[in-house]
Amino acid sequence: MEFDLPGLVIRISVMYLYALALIRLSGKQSVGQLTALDFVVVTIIGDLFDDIFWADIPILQGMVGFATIILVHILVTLASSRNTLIHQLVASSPSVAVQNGRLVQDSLKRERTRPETVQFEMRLKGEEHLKEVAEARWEPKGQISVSKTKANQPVKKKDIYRLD
Amino acid sequence: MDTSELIFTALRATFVYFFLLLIIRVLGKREIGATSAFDLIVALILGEVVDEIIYGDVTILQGVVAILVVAMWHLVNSWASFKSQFIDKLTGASPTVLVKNGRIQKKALAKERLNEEELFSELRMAAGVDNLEEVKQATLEPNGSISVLLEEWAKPVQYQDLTELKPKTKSKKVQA
Repeated sequence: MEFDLPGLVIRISVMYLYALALIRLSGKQSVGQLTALDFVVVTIIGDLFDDIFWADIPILQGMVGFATIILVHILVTLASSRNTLIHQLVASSPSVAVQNGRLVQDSLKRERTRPETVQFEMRLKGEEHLKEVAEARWEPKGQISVSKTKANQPVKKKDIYRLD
Repeated sequence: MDTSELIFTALRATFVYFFLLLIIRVLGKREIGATSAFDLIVALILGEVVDEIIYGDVTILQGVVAILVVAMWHLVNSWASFKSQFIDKLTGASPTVLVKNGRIQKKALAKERLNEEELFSELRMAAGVDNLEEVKQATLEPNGSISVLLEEWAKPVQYQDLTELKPKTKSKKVQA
């Protein structure tokens, strides 16, 4: 096959602008707010492009494939934001990893997580002692969240200043 | 180009989407949450095999088998590292202590190919710390982030530190 340089430039430019428009339509602004599913969708989308660039497939077919993934994803996330049952089907729910300063063994097993992993996730939150933790949860995005016991919470301004 | 081919492309894309959704739900939040470099690679592999399926270069069956095999190995790996500390150490990174009691561990830094400047930048970002003395321990964790534990005297005041002050039971809004 003959090398079609102008065609390559045109295909890449068209698909770049097309992708930009559809991503804006999907409402996602930054990678920081991606869930696991968003993330896979992003990798699928990225994967759909090279075949179009190299003209392995017609540009129209690529556009349809790309738009379908985005459209289905918008519909699924829309449905899951409105309906709890659908949300539980498509997204994982938070699970309690630490309760009253103790590791919850059942949850470790369910998430296939070693105690060392909980420890390092706690350190990343600046927590040194498990006993100061009232509750820690595995959140759907795979990280841990920590609520501390009352005695170990930071003091609020209202507790220091005379408030009358 | 044939319109039916476009419809098939849309149908295959829809199928791939829901199939991957199923795989992600089975793998669980700790496997795909981009927690380690290898989890990221597996997520990229799963995403990378699908273009041939969607464009019909391979059959749906071939695509499904390929994705299932990758997912199965990832599941076996995560199950084995949960069961055995040895396999966990073999397949995942272990934490490296970079600062201990306010002192930089130069050997550890060299081993992780980290510059002191990078370390200070991480300390500022992770804990807002500029003074090394405040750091009881800084650790490069298996997921590549740096954790910072502060010395007891450098921690923010907690309620338990106020016990002598007898916190009030009622509170009102602070006057501006």
